[in-house]
Amino acid sequence: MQTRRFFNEELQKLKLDVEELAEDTKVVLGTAVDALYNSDLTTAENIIANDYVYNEKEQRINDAAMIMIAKQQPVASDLRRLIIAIKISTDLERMADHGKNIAKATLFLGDDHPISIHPSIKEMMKIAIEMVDIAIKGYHLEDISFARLLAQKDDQVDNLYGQVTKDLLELTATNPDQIQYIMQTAYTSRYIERFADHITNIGESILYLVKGVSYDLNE
Amino acid sequence: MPKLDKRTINEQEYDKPNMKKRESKEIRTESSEFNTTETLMNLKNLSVYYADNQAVKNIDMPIEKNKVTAFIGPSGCGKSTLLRTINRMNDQISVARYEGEINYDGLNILRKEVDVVTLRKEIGMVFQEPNPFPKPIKQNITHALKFMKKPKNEIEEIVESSLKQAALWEETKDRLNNSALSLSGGQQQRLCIARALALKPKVLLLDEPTSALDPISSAKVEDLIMELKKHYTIAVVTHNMEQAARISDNTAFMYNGDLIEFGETSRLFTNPREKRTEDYISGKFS
Repeated sequence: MQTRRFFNEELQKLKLDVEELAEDTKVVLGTAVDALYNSDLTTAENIIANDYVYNEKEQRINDAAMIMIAKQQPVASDLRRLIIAIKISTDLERMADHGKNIAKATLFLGDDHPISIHPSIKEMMKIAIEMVDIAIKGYHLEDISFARLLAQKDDQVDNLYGQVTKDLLELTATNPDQIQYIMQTAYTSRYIERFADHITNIGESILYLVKGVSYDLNE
Repeated sequence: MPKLDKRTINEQEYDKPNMKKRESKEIRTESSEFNTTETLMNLKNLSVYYADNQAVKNIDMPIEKNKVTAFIGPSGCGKSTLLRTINRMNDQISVARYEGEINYDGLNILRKEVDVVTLRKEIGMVFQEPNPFPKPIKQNITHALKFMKKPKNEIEEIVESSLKQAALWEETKDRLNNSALSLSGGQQQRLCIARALALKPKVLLLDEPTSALDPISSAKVEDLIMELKKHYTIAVVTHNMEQAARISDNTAFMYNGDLIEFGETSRLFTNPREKRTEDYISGKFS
């Protein structure tokens, strides 16, 4: 006989809310990077204007988890599910912020800047979005077999970030008059690298959720 | 991506270079100077039978000194039987018999020649319902002491110290000659604890000590238990999971006479090793 049916339903609803916020971050990042390449200022402005939505979703997840902790006094894996929902939603909100930061960089660059955006930034974005997909699947299934893959993908993003930074640094030497624009694109690659780091944090959270032990995927 | 059973994962799978375990993974809920792990008592292959019914099955576990050990489990799992065995209360049940050992102070206390009166001075017990004697408060403490022929001045000291230790002195010092039955339920239970402490035991056994009390009285008894463990070793049977989590250092989960899991409370309530433990403490037991 299954007991605590209502609590289990609330936990499931919370999980779906977290997954929805994760899907949102994919859209924000993908749209922000596309807007960067297309100098689409309208889309960039919309991304910035809509950032409050993700903040509110994070807050709702945190509030729901807090209420369940207070009312249901969960222990063991149920307690970990709630703590992890709070932690993951914080990471997701920060990821959406990084999408917003890319949109701000797009606005700074304007629609007639003289530089071409480094092609590896798009590549970084694609890998970061793949990482979100992997993490969501792992979270949904409470499956930890994804963890290694997530760490490998994060390394790929880090390597691309290193390459982009190096290339842009060389570009500043030959184009000192464009340094402010080049710096904006460098920031953009940094935002995606941070975005991916947050997904790695989420991977660690899922490992903790399933195993009850903390792991470091960044080492 | 294949789904893995989270309970059959090989630990080594996660010790890859880029998945390093964090060092500070152990959860400690306290850092007091009483955080020792000296074993005071050892249960060794302990079984308890009521006639042909084996109520406690081949249990091995330590009771650590100056720690609170909680016994949890569904009704009829054998936890109260086990607690009562520790000070031989089951001797009063004619069909009860033991196998195995409880080693305490170099002695198997289940041996027939052990004097149970002396044993119960060392290992005191408090029950679910407060059961003060229908006598003045003071006499509840002095009754056993007089029987033991303690000198009068010593008895006076013990009355005060026991009531102080039970956090009841301030509430009763001006009415020691009033009937114990005039006290509230929570005060009566603390008086029963004071009565047990008067014999200067080393171990206190508490069988659902707060189940008949209101939340405020329960909280006072819980605070008292936390205070008393500085000087005593405490074993408590409770149906209240939150209480076990709050007050105990170690928890033993019993089911159907078996010890399913025993370990540090902070670990057992956050990451139990056994699915039955997890289901029980999460309220999902079927």
